[in-house]
Amino acid sequence: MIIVICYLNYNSMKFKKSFIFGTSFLLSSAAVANSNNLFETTELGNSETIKESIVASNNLNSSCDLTVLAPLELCCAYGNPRDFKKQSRKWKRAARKQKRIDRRNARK
Amino acid sequence: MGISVGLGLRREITEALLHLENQKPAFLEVAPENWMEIGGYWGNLFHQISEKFELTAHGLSLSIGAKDELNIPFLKRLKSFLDEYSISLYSEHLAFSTMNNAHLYESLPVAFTDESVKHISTRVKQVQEILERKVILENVVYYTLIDQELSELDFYNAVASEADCEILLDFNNVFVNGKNFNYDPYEFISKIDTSKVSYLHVGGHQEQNDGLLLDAHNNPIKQEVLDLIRKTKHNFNADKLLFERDANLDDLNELLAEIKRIEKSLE
Repeated sequence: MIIVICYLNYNSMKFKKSFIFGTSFLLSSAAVANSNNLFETTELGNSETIKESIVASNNLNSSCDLTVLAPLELCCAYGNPRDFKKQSRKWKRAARKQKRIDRRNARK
Repeated sequence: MGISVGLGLRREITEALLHLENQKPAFLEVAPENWMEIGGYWGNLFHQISEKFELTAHGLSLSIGAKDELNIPFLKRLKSFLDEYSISLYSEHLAFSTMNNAHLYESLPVAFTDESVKHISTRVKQVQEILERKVILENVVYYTLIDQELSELDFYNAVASEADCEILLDFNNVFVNGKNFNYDPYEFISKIDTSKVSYLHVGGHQEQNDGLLLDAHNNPIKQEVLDLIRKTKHNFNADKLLFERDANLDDLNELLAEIKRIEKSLE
């Protein structure tokens, strides 16, 4: 169950991650060792609001050990951890459900 | 001393690797986060793999550049894992991947500044003390402009020197960053402190329509990257080079053929 929660939470990060990377091109001096002013230079919001949204989307993950996510088989390639094609049916169902939620949220 | 070529262990190829008799990869690299404390079917397979292959470890969640506290319980569990499987070579990314104790699932670049050098070096020393191993830090791909007091090259050399750690040089990452940020990968390699480079990586990248290269690990290694290996291999004392493939893993024979291509560039 914990894994499912983490997975859903992970999946809900897809939008956030895209957002981060989309934003990253605008960040001329953003990568300052994860300090509080990481997002200070973005034109899309101040650092606090962006940081809060990322952290909020990670609320469960922050208390959830990364190793618990092993069923996702993490890797360091760009984008690959988001490829769920080869996951089991259970994971696929969860991914579809999350996609619907993400779409609904995006429309709001 | 020759350079042996290994392969990243992914679940899709685990069983096939166990059945290999000839033409085995020289070693397998594992992400500890994917295999630590895992039991059942996969735990059993991993145990068999560890008996058949030499293993190296490439971590994903250390987040050495983060301002968060180091996750000491995790490091202790990591040490147990490395000890249990007699893994002496442990590498990670010179990046951060957590913020406010939340995992961001991506290795994000740190600023190339003196402050970062000091911050990271202190943390690396702590990690090395806990793991009782040298940490080997990888040059990462980045897709945004970085705050640069130091050049990327000087930054890596400074961290390796100040932290007394080693460097994992990823040929593909040098090539991709060189293309995306318009610098010469050959010059980069000629100026890196090769006495600190103890492990090598290479993988395939993907070109976007706009010309941006992505470190996608999903397709064959580009010939230009193999040429980079061929022309610079004599600079290094490292004895292991890892072939990274994280997608399109259906055909193990194709991966073994890629290893042959790499070995040819090392002859």
